[in-house]
Amino acid sequence: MKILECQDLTKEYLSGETVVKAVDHVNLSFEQGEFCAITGPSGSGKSTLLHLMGALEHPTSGSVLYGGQTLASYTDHQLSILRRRRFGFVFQAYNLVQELTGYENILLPVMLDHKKPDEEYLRQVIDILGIEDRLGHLPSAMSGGQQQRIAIARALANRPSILFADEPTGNLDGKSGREVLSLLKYAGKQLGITLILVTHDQHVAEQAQRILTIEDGTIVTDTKFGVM
Amino acid sequence: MAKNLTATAIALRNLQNRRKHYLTLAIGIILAMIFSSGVPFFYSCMRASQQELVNRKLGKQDYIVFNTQDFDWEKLESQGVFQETPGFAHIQRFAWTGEDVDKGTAIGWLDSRAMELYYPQIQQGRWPQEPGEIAVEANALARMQLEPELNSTITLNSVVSNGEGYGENQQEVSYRLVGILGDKRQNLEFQARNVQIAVPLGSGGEEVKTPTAQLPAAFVCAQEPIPAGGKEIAAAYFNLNPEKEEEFIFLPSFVWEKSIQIFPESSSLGESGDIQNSSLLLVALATMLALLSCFGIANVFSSNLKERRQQIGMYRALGATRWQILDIFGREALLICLACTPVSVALSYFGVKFFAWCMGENFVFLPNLLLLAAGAGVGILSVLISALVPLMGAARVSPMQAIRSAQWMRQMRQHRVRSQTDFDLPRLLAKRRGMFDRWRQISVCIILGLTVFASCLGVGSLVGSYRNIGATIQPFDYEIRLSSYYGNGNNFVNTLGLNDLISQQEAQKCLELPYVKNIYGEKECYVNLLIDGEVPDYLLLHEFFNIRSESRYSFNVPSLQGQMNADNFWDLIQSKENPTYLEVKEAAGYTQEAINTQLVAKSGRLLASMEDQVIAGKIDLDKLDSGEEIIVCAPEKIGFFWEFDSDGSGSCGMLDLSKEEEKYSRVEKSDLKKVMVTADSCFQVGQELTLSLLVDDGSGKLTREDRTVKIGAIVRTGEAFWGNSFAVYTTVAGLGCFTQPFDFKNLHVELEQGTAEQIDAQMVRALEALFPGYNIRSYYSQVQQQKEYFITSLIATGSLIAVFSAISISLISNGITAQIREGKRAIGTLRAVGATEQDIVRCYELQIAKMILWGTVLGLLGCGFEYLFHYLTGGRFTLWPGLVLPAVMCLVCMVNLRLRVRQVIRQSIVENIREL
Repeated sequence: MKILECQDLTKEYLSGETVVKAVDHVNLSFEQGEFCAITGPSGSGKSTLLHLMGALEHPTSGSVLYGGQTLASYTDHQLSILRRRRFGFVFQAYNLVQELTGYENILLPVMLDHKKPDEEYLRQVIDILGIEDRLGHLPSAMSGGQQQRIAIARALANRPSILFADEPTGNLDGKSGREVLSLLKYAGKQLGITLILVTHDQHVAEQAQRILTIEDGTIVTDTKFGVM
Repeated sequence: MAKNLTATAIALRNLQNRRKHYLTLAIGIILAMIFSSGVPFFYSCMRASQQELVNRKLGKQDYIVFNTQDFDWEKLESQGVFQETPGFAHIQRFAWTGEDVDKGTAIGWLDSRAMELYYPQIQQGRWPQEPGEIAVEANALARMQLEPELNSTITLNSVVSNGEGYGENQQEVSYRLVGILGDKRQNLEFQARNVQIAVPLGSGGEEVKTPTAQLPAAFVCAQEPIPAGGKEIAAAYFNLNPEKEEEFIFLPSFVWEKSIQIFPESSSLGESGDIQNSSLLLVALATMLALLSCFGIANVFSSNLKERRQQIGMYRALGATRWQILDIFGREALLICLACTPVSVALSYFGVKFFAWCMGENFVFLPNLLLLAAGAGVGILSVLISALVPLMGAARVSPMQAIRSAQWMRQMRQHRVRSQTDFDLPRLLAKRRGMFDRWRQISVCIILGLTVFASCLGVGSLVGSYRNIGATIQPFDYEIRLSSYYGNGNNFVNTLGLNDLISQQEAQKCLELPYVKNIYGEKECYVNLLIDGEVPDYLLLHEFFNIRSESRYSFNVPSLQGQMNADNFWDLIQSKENPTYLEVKEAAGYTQEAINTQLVAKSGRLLASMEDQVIAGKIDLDKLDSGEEIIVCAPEKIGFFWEFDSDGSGSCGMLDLSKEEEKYSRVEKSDLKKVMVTADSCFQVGQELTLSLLVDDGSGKLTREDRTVKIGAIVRTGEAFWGNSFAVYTTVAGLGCFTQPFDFKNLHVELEQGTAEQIDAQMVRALEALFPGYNIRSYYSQVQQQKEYFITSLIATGSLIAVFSAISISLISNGITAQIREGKRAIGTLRAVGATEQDIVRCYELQIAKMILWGTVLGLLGCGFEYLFHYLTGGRFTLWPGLVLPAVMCLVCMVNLRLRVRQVIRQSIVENIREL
């Protein structure tokens, strides 16, 4: 079942007077529970593609369809609700809210949705990620790896359908990177979440069921592997 | 590429790159510089206006010496006694109309230097240029009861100067009136009471003494011939060299006897005080606005530098010293400041010029290059000083801040944070952010509190000023009052002839003036209240204060000094009877105790207007007229206090304790040790009083007349309580029941309705002419002045509140803007996890509401404090501005916040969260 689809997706930027096509007429689709890695050299447009699919940016042309409905028809408010309920994001720079503790950061999307947190589910996520002892700390008192785990927990807090991860291991050392990646895979599998991950690291990409290679904004290879 | 990358080059590059960001700062700097430059400009305007007023009313000279034609002025001048060469008025004759010689004027011509010093103000026409032409001061024309048209001929009686004074032969003289001048002699006359010069009246040997017989108020040209046999007399005009005053005191004694020394502080220049009040108000306002603007600049700089913390951290990481950071960013400030200087100084200059123009001819602004430079200097200095504080803070930024906020992290680590399991995000963020950004919050709260406080007080004061206008409006238009009243004797006895009071005939003359509808006189005398048996404390306090005091608040009783202390003062003062009292008691044959007070006879109309002051009884004018009743003016409770100075001497005062403000005005404020004796009023309506009038006709023989009267009404004292714990009021007819006729002390003139506006100036002049030496008070012009003052206050208070509010709003908005810019990434993160615009706006709204709430509470607390302790305004303030203003500010800030957030949200989430 297709959960997300890109149709003729294009994103152009103005760099001085030159128009740069970051994403150039991309057509793609993702299945429910799929783990896909988008890879490519720096500046190839992989992050932009992820941002477009995650409704963080508006495309210049083309459309992104979630559950068969184009995101262009969503109002800004509806997009916010979509992001808080259906999508989860993990960024390279963690992007935790500095004033909130680890636990409060995790609760953030739940609280924005004015819901009661599902404590059992959250306990499960926290256990999976192994961040029990950092929940009462502010982000500034955590290491990079710990912050990224909190960010993953936050992304999973509202049981999203899709988890977008932009270079989640980019700021981490090798060991921490590997741990975070394993956790992402494990959590995705356990919770049945579609995982779309951007990386320029070939070793990270090789962990995915499907690898998309992008160059100059165009998908050059789309390789699917068996169930891992 | 620049060959040398200097600090100036970096500063210029920064300015180029951050043009948009600096626009707000530049506007703030221009505002601050306008106000800062305004301080010396307003001050200069005040000084120049005061000087100009003095010059116009009195002339530029310090001294005028009469009859000086034979004195060797050149010798004195060579000794450097004068600042500049003296000028001379050459007096040719003394002229008058009809029989009123004492209302005439000297006629003469001024040499060029005297002209410069006397500074004549031509109101109409021109200065005489040919023989036979004359220019006369308006008041001199009025005194001579002349109302000629310009270019008409005036004919006067005159005596011609004979080289020493005036000759005895009277002759008629005619001139063509070519100019009417502004009054000067009228003002100088107040300062020349002792210069009585005799004017002969023909060959009979009679003469009239007039204080300014040789001070010309009528001028002819230098070519005007003096009649044969006459010889001009000279009056010298000059400014003394203060360093050579010693030489001047060796002048012949006649110089001292016949000179006027001009004191510009004289009471005749009341407007000078108005200029000073208005200008000082504006200087204070400009200073306050400049300070607030500087505070605003410091805040904008602080926000600006906070936004650029990473840039500064990067410089530091690359090896820039603190001084270099200060240098680079200080140059930015200096460059913007220099760029803003011409506009700011020009705006400030035109602002003060406009102010002077608005305030009328009494205000002049005479700028020069030095003043403009001073204005620019003060402006630049104030901006640089206000920028220095945030710059010094910025220079302390650690290199770590290039990577992340080390300071913030440090603060965070110092606080224990408990995770909330169920929270409202905006509320939680507002709480956490507020906790860590407390200095900004505190400063905003303080400014806002001041705004609320100032607005409550300012509006309260305006309401008070408005009410004062109402209180000044009298049932008459003019008051004629003796300029110096010596009292009638020794407070028990009325000695006749001590004062030159207004007779019934003079009052009648006044009634005959055009447009005068009615006149009301006020008479006053001392009367003794005779008491059988023990004197009540209320009257004892009154008596002690009246008998022994030389003035209201400060006096010493030599015989009691050193003996008196807080414990024995009341017994001691009761044991010392005034010797004068004992003498009078014996001479009058009093067997009872006599308590002296004033019997004031007012017009029925004025007494009727006192209805709202009645405490008990009823004002019955018929019974007052018949002498059956009197009105007692007596507070319900009085307090007599004594303050002890360190040397054992003391000062005393009397308070009307039935008035709230009296309690606070004196008792609560002084740090001196004091004791106070209080007493309740001993008067009741219907009570019979025996009033005894003692009159000395000048021969020393006393005439006594006693009358028994009933108290018809008891009234409280008016706005001001001058220490008379009680006085007796009646009508003029009521006072007439005593056989002794008294003349009028004051005269009140009522004009026909609606005429005061047109003829106020002429009427004042006519009254001055009719009553020379009296103070003429125009209530019409006083009300006009109060209205002007009210408008000035309204503008000043309005501007103050507006600027206070603007600064508060700008502080909050700048804070929010800086926080939004700084927190762009946090906003992006919140958006990425699903926060809507409303959620984000609420995070900041709560902070604004919190700051405004605290500021309002602070301001209202200040008002409450003022209400309780009456330090500034006697508790006079209005509450509603303190509530409305924060509400308006809140609204403005909210709108601004939404615009700012929308600006950030207009960018994509990716742009928001992108690393620098």
